[in-house]
Amino acid sequence: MDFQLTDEQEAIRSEVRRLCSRFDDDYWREKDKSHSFPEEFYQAFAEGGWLGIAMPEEYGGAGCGITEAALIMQEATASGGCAAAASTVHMNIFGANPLVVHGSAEQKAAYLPKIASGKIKVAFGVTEPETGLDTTHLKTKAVRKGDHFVVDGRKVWISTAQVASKILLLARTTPLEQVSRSTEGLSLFFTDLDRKRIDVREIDKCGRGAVDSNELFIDGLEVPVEDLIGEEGKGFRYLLDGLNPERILVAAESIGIGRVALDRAARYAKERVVFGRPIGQNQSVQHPLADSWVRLQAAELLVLKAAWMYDNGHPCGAEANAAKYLAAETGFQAADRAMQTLGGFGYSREYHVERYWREAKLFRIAPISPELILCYIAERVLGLPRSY
Amino acid sequence: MRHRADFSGGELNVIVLIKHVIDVELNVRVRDGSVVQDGMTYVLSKWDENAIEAALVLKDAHDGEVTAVTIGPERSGESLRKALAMGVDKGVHINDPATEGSDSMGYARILAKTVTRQPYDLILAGRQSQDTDQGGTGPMLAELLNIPLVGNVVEIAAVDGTKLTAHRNGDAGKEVVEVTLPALLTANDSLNEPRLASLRGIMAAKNKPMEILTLADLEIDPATVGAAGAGTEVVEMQPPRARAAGQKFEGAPEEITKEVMGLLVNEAKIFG
Repeated sequence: MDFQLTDEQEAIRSEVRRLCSRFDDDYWREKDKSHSFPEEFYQAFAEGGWLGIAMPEEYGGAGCGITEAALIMQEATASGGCAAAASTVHMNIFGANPLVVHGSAEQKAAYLPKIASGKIKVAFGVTEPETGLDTTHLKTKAVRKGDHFVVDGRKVWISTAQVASKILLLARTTPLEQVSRSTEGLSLFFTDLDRKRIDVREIDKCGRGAVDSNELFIDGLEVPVEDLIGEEGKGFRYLLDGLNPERILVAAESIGIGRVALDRAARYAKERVVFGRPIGQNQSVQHPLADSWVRLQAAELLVLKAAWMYDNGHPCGAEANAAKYLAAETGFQAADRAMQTLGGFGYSREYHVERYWREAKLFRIAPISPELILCYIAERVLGLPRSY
Repeated sequence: MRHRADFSGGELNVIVLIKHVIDVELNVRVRDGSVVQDGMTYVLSKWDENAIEAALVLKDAHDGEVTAVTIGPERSGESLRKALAMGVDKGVHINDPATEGSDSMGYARILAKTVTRQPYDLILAGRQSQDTDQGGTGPMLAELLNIPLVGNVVEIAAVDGTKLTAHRNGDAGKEVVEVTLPALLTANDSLNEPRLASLRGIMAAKNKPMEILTLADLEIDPATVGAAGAGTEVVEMQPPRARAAGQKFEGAPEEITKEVMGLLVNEAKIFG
């Protein structure tokens, strides 16, 4: 048992922290307010080589594990950049995983170096308006016609589709009625986000204003056969490979938001004097913050354990989901308590904490809800009957 | 070989002196006359980062090798690794308990023995370390090596043949100084904007040479350095005075100006 990060991991964490400190709260507030993509932050990550952290070395990455990726994502959100900072770089850092694992040699050589270096941005086109987390019942169809597929359907909550040039797209290639299991017959494509055939409409939403979320209307999109990842009909399985590491990264991102919220709250509680004493001298203010610190520590341990398991080839479904559950709940709770600590000022945009709060909320909802994680733990770990 | 006197047409070999110091941005606590070490975090002294950056810029322009040297316990290796991650080629770590308690002269003696083990054209250091703020080691080392010193450098304007032109901040304004190499320069923080280590740099650092030396390796008599050889002794340490709370003035600009000016003149006495 060793809780010590390696020298290299420490160096990674400290340099990313320094890099992120160049983008302060005011930068993120402005990006949030103006709904503009944090291109400067994205470029800084690209220049430092950070986008390629988890990409194999042969494709221009650093070949590190999810542990290192989790460390840098936590720093990105903990800088005050919150979910916006994470989502700006998340897809390049890990989104292309199905391509890394299941792509052909040609696909990998053509795209992975560009993703690692930030030359291309990718959107992740899986979720649909009518099916939500019931992914296997999605309605988007891809029909083979000669050397290409024709895709029609709708997607929703697709991040960065306003700025991305490529999309990782999941569509049904064999109708549900013709497959024995609903997980079969879905195919994954890595293809151009062709705006002539994909109408991208931004969704006005509560938080993470800097990074767009969209509804996609796909009408007759022609996808060359070469853009199919792996075998036709196995797309859902390919997607599953990436779910655990994604849970781990989102958990790390949530902890970062909790950390920055707690830091601002503690600082405020020390300085704010009411009734002749700093409000932080009152136990009713201290205890929730101290309690959040404890919970964030616990969540971080769980994240690091799940990351270690993944990097060392152990099955980690329960741990990755548990980490996401605890971190997202705890991160939001910390942000909520921070806002409460700042009182009226916490509600004002000027103090940034309301932004943390709005952004922490996102990770309670996406990419999976806490409720569904509990269903999963109940079923898979405790052996209770499946409830959904 | 003490140094390379002429690198014209060839490579410029630079030695950077760095120090791993307590992070003074955090709360430094003093107990029983010394700084509490428990739970403290350590960082590369900030002016040393400017020295490293300057060395790397020179390397880009003239080729050659950049070597970073530090004296300190095991943990000091962290700053050396950071220097390597930034792009320095080689690290030298003098790790010997007998160096503890060295004053500037002690450090200068150790460094004099260390840097003369290889040819060099230029030595760069921060103008002072962030923990003691003494600023003595660089000048003393230049003296021991009998090479010219330019302190508080804000710009390295030109390196030509065996000459280097540096701008330094002096009391009376900026001085433009020409020195014959080899020389020792100490860096002001406005000399440059130190680069961040890239991920590639961090990964490459682990394969770069790092030499770990003891006083015996350098044939230094332990009695001449460390607490034993120190001519100065810190007999008491007092924590820095806490900053007093600021004062806020409200009201019409004309009235505030009068009030503030009154306080500046009569209370703060800043106008002599």
